[in-house]
Amino acid sequence: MSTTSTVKVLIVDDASFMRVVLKDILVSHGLVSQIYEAGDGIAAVEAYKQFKPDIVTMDVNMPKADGIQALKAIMQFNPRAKIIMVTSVEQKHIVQDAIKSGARDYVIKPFDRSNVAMVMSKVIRSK
Amino acid sequence: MNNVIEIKMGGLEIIDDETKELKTFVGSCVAICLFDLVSKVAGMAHIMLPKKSDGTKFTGKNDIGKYADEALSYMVNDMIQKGADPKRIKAKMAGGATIFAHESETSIFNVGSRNIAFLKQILKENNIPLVSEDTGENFGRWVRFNLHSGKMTVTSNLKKFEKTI
Amino acid sequence: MEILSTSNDLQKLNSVLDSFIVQKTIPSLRSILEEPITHHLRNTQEIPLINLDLIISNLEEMNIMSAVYIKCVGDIHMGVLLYLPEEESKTLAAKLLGKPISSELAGIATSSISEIGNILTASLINAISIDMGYKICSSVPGYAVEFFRTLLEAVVSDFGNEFDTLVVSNVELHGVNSGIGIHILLIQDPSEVKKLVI
Repeated sequence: MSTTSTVKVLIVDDASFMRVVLKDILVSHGLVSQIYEAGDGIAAVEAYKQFKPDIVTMDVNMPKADGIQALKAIMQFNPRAKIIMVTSVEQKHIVQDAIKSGARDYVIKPFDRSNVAMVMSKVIRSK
Repeated sequence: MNNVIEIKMGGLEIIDDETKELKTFVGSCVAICLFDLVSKVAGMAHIMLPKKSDGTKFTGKNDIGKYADEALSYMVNDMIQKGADPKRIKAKMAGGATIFAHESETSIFNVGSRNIAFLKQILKENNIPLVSEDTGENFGRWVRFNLHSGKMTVTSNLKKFEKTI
Repeated sequence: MEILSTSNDLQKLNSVLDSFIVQKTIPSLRSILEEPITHHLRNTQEIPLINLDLIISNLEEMNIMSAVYIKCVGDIHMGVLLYLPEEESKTLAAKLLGKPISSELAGIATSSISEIGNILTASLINAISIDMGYKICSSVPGYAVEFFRTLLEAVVSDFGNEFDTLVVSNVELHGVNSGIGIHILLIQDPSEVKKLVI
């Protein structure tokens, strides 16, 4: 992976296909240097604690523990964690719950690749 | 030529004529067959769910087989009325497959295995021996029961097999 | 047995579902496939469980289907079965992955079809939620490869409806350029019809 970025990302999605798509976007835009993956909310929290990524992309609907539960657990562990929800769910109460719980931004599937890259870039640069 | 009685989803049939066969198609549902080969009485139910909610009664003939607890109770009583000896009643079952699976292999769509487990429990509680079964896995089955031979034939179009249990 | 829905309600439901599909589902699929999409909401009918196999067409009886099932619960209880012939699903997966499907890619290919089911279901419930204010949760997608009869039976069994009839809507979506056709079967309890036609 040839990039000047030193950013570590944790991609959380139960669909291996979506993890491949997101990896491809992040690598092709030179946004990250290291990628970790998790397929459910429980694995996401464990991976976050182990690898301490700079940024997390988090799916909402997953088995074992969903993305909102994982978001809250990670925010409790690190209130400065940078988490972007990447999901097909557009329902207002779910979006609001995620933002209130500390998600930095929200991207709806099917997404525009350049929009995802832009949102990632913005959150990576944010404090 | 045997007369074949097809049982639809949630249905149940009792026969006391050994020229007749009972037939149904099951995926995650379970075909449970009770039979007394001496009195030549048998019943088959197409079970969709383990347990009926409390307080509701039979909604009609067409879905008596839907819930395992209700179906078995009805079958045994009706078979006894047609001459079956409760001490001779035996069971065979097929189906209860897990058709849909999540890629993480987390057991989510498990109504099939719940149906099997619950049916086995009720059979045990009622001292009805389960003679044979072809259950679980991930494919649909055509199931036929022949009252004359007491054989249950299970066929899968997807896996291209036919077996007798 | 008793049919609970009036034909007027079923027609209205058909119309409402059609509008949601146009609003959100078609734009989602168009974005994914990067081509124009046509759709046809065949009908919405209330069918007794014992007659359910009457909706199985010859095509569906003869062909093994790749299918995704998602159960939606909350203010609206709905089962969604997305399916297409297995051979066509390989074409769809290849398009989504941007390369032919080898045995090594089989898992990702399956995941891509599941994800299509996920996204299209979410698009529909998003439309319902945004338009009508309902809160709806969907399950994670379940994937299967089987004949339609098996898929239908498994979906109806898992859905766990109270009554001995079901309200069934059949939708077909087609990619204009690729010719890829996706079928979606929506199932609801007849007691819920009124919720979407108010």
